[in-house]
Parts: sequence; C-alpha cells; structure tokens
Amino acid sequence: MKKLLTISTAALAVILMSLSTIAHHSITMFDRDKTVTVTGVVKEFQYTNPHSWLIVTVTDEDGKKVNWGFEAEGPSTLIRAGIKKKDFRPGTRITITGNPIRDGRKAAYWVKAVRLDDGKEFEPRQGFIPK
Amino acid sequence: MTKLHRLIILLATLLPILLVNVSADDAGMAERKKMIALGLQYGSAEALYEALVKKAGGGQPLAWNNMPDWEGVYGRTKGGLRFDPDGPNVGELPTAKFTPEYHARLLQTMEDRKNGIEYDPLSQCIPPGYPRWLDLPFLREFIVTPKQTTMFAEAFNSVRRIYTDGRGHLHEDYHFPTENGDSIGVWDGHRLITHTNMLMAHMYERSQGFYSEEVEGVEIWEKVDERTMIAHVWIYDPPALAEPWYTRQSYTRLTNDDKAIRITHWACKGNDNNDVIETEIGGSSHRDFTFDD
Repeated sequence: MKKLLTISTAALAVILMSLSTIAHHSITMFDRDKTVTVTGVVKEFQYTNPHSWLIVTVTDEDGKKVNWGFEAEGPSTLIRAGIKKKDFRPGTRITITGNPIRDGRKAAYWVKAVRLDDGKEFEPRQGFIPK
Repeated sequence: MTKLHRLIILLATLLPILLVNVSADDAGMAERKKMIALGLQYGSAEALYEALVKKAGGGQPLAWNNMPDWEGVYGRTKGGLRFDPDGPNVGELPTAKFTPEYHARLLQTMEDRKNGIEYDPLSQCIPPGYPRWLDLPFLREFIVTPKQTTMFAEAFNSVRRIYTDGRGHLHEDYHFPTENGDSIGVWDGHRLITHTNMLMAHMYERSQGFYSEEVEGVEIWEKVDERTMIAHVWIYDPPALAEPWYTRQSYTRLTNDDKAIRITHWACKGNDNNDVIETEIGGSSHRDFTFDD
C-alpha cells in the first residue's frame, strides 16, 4: 500500500479551535498547528477509557510497514460521535488525519478518519457537541 | 421576483430570529449582572447560602410524590475547558478576579502553555475535585432522592453527595481537605440550593487559574427545560479570589434512544498508551507506546 503522508498548517486547525475540548491530560505534546495524514489499514482499535487509540499500519515508500497511533477520546465520547468499535475492525482501510506529537514518534491526536471502502468520515471530537 | 423582493423576504424572515436572540442575550447579561451583584453582597459562601435558604423559607422537604425529573445522561452544554462557559476562550484571561498571587500563577501557566509546557495532574487519574467538577466535559448523572442528591461525573468516577435531610456540615473538628468536599442543601420547590466546603486546593482547569484549600461554593441547581439543567455557581476563596466568581454552568440531557450512552468506570491503567507523565520542565509526555516498532 502506498504511503500518503503530508504535514501542513492545516485548514482543519479551524475545526480544532472550535472543538478544543480534551480532558484527562494536556495536549500540548501534540502540535495543533500541524496535521499529519496517513493511509493504511487498521491494526487495532483500543476502545478504552479515558482515551482510545486507533493503531494503523502504513506501508512507507520503501515498502516497510510502520505503525501509527492516533489518540482519541474514550468510548462514551466516541459513541456520542457515532463511532463504534466495529467501524474500525482490523484490516479496515482508512485515511486518517491528526495533530502530530512533537517528539517525532509516530503518534497523533485523531482529528478525522475516512473509511476508504464507503467514504464514511469519523470525527471523535464531534462527541462533545450535545445532541 | 426581483432581487429586492428576495432581499426583503429574507430580512423579514431573519429579523424576528435576530431580535429573539438579541433579547435572549440581553436577558442573559441582565441575569449575570444580578447574580454577580448577589454574590458581592455577602462576605462568604456560608453567608450567601444562609441568605438563600432564608429567602426560600428554610427550604421544603422533597417528597417521593413530587420529585424533579433529573434523570438521564447529561453533557456540558458549552464551555469546552473554560470554567466560565460564558467567558473568553482558553488562552485568554478568565472572568475571575484573582488576588495578585493567584493572578501571577495563572499568568505563568498561560505563558507556559503558549510555549507548549503544560501538565495536568489528572493525567494520572488524580480526581479533579470541586469546583473543577463543574467544568468536566464528559458525562454526568443527577440522582435525586428526598434526603440526598448524588451528582456523578463519568470522568475519574467523581461523586458529589449533597445531603438534603436537614443535617449541617461536618463539624470543624472533623475537617480535612477532600476532593469533592462536604455538601449540604435544601430544596426550594424543584430548585436545589447547596453549599460545599472542606475542599482541597487544585486548578479550575488548565490555564484557568487555581483555588486554595479555603475554597467554598454555593450553587442553585434547576432544570429549566426538558433537556437543560443549569447551576448558578458562586465560588468564594479569599486567598485566591479578590471577589466571588459567579458562573452559570449548563448541562444538556443527551439524546440516547438506543441507550448506548452509559457511564462507565474510568481508570488510567486500562491502556498503557494513556500513561502521560510530567517532564522535567513541567510539560506532558506519553511514556513508551505499545505500538512503536
């Protein structure tokens, strides 16, 4: 699978500014002025409190497989955002965007994921908007 | 139809909506000023509470056949990580009037945040405590019985018990700092008036200031429509606040048709990737990730 990796001062930052609610821990370790986008397959969806992690395996330009972790809110907030554990079964092909961790590890705060098979979009922070 | 006609119709449609919103904003501002003034009339949380109870005729016992309907799961209506939901965004000074010492502490945290330096003790699942309890952005339940109302926040499994059986506060001889304090209250119809003391020093929120061990709170809780619970909150804290900090907290009962939204236990140890530690310079960092190659 071809790796798609882009880092930019993103338009998505606008969305993040309006939905900047994250508790439990500070997110200053993530660079909210940047985004990273990768395309890969879901390795594991750790659907846990207080934060969930979506682990995605990406094949880089050299053909090497590397894992990326995308942190999100816990299950109750994900449910409110319409995100179920089964939405990201292992092997699901996705493109996912997040705010990259500043220390250079392959981790980011999940902003938006798109499931490639049906184009459905998943934005965890939508779960903070009362419905 | 000409463009002018279309414009007139559009304006005629929007004008009533705009006027209603302006009117609501004005009413909200007027209420806020009134509540701020009310807090300023009293030198302590205890004095304000006693005045509110007196005004309510001492309160009335709640009966099982006349209970307020506070059931359901609630989320914070607005505010993000601001203690005052009607205050400026995080990164700007909150609406509190802090003493010089606590103002300086706040400014330092705001400056550090700009430089990417910020650590929250909650990272290790230390309870947020009260008054911070009020601004947690996660789920809540309000469980009302005649003699006790229990307020439960999903985050960090934080429980507040408000005794409404006529008891007073725990005697000073037994005081010690606690996360959520000791709360008593009375019912005025379906409005719950509360007083909380015996608290622990902590922060209102990240970059929202700190409170001391002397912090106390007075609240008036009321369900104002089918889905909205509000709390008028006055925080008194002489070492930290130059005057009481009034805020209007609001929580929305969530649509939960399939009953999938439930409060579950929070623990930090369920996923090693959630282990966030304080760095040497006071910032936050995840420990080793389990998914690293």
